[in-house]
Amino acid sequence: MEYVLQTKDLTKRYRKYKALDGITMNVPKGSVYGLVGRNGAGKTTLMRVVCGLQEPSGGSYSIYGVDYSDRKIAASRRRMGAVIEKPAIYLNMTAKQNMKVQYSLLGLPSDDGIDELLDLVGLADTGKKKARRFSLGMKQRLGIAVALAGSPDFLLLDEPINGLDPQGIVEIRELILKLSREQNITVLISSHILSELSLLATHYGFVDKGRLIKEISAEELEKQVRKSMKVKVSDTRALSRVLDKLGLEYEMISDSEGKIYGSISVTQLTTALMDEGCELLTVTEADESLESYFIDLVGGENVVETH
Amino acid sequence: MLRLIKINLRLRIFSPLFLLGCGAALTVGIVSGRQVAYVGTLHMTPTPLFAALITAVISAVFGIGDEFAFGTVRNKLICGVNKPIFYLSQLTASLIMGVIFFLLAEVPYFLMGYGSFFGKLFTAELLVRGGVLLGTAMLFCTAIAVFICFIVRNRAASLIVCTAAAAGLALSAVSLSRSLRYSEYEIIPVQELRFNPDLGEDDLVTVDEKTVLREEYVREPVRTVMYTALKLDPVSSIMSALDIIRADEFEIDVRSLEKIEAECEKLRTGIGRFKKDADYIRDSLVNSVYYPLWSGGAVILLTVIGVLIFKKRDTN
Repeated sequence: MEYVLQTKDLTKRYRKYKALDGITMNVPKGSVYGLVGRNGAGKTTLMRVVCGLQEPSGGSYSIYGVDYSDRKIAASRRRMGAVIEKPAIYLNMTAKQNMKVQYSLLGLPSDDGIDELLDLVGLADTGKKKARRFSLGMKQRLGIAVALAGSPDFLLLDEPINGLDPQGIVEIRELILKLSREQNITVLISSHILSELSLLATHYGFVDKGRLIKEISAEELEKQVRKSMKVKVSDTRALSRVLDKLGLEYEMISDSEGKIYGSISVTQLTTALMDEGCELLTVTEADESLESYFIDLVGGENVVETH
Repeated sequence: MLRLIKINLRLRIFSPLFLLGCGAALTVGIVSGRQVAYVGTLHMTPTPLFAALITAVISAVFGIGDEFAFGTVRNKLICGVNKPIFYLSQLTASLIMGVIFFLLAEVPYFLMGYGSFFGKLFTAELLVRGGVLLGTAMLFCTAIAVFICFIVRNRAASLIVCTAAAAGLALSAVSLSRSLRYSEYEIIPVQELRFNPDLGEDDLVTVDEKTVLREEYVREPVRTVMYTALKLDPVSSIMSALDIIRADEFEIDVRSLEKIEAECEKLRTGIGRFKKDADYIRDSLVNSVYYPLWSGGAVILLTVIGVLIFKKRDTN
């Protein structure tokens, strides 16, 4: 698999405080990588370090296979765009002027494409209105448009929906999906609003206290959090035989318990088990969500906003 | 780098602050020039320079402060601009703006005052020396302001620190210059009380003068330290320029470098000797042309420190 970003034991210390504590992560090309973690977990610090705004205290990272200490990293960085914390735009300028500055900065020969980008983010009609007078959502979208100047193929978005109204959240979500699907841009997006992230991400990295505690694809995660039934029986071998006969997907989680995926009639299962001489002791329905999965991973209560 | 400088200049030139600054510098230059032309004077006023300096510093503070306030510095660093290049591009843009403001304030002042003041009282050599001292001092002060902006990263705080730094540099230059001005010796008249036989009473009669050591004279090694501090201070270049472009009301001839040198020599040997320290006066009027090398060196060192600090510090 080709990776756009890879970090190895990445560490960032602020005096004695470790904001990043040996993070090793891999962002596959073309993915929407959701960085999940509570406030202060280290998501923003990770993005700042990757963007070159801050120097790592230890470990390393590479962008498009180029190590951060390599001189060629500047060329790799030109292939990425980022909106970290708040959009980096000149508030005393119009949307178009902001785009022109970014185009000049990147040394693009002409302003062709500015209108298309503004159209893409829904700011084509803002005219002479200064960015200072934009709504938070508009500023966020302009920030993304600025980050998209020069057609980057890797986009880093730090909490892009923070503080947005429901309409703004939908707009940003659709924009990110559009960029990922239509332009095949790899997106690294951080958020603590998991319900939103689950609508976008193809891969997840769970961060807590500066450490990456789990890296998982959306597909695998879906398997782990999908609807299941936990059954406790007197004989797990008999349970296996019954479930195989019924053609159900399952896994044994202990010598007396099994997890059955999908929906099943409890009566049918009880009868089948009785035929095998096995007693059904307890049945618990488990409908694990991304939130509960995350809470299970990091422990604690109300660690993320679930909306 | 060149691209970044162009962007920085474009951002500043298209800001309303630039037009305001240009207007202020030009107005002060013209008003000061008119005063010279119609009222007449025997010394150069620092007002146009101060106007240019204030506008240049404000332009730098807002130009650099905006990058930090709006977070747009991130856009530059993310797309591969390295921190030293960013610092140097901002410094260059600020210096170019400084030159623009300096020319806008000083050129009308000089041109308007040329016929009645500058051209009649001073040789071209002195005028060029004065101009170089003023121009370089202003650029160095702007570079110090840029350093402050990068350290403080906040417009309001930068303005306060810049004002404090300007006051500090000015006060230290004035106080060092005053201390170093004293000659090592002074001549005091010796008065003796003598009996006047005609009047039949005592009378004060001056009979001679005596050379005595002056207490205020700063001795080595403190003198060298103070001298060095004075030369490193860009304000001392401004003070020197103001001293050079200053005429005496009794002067008939055009003031030249040779004349200044002769005056310095008088302080050493002739009438009025020991009035001021001859070496110091000669330094501040004749050798001051080298002052910018000292203060420029200090500013380069400060810039290197600024670049290293900016490179080392995290950007949010």
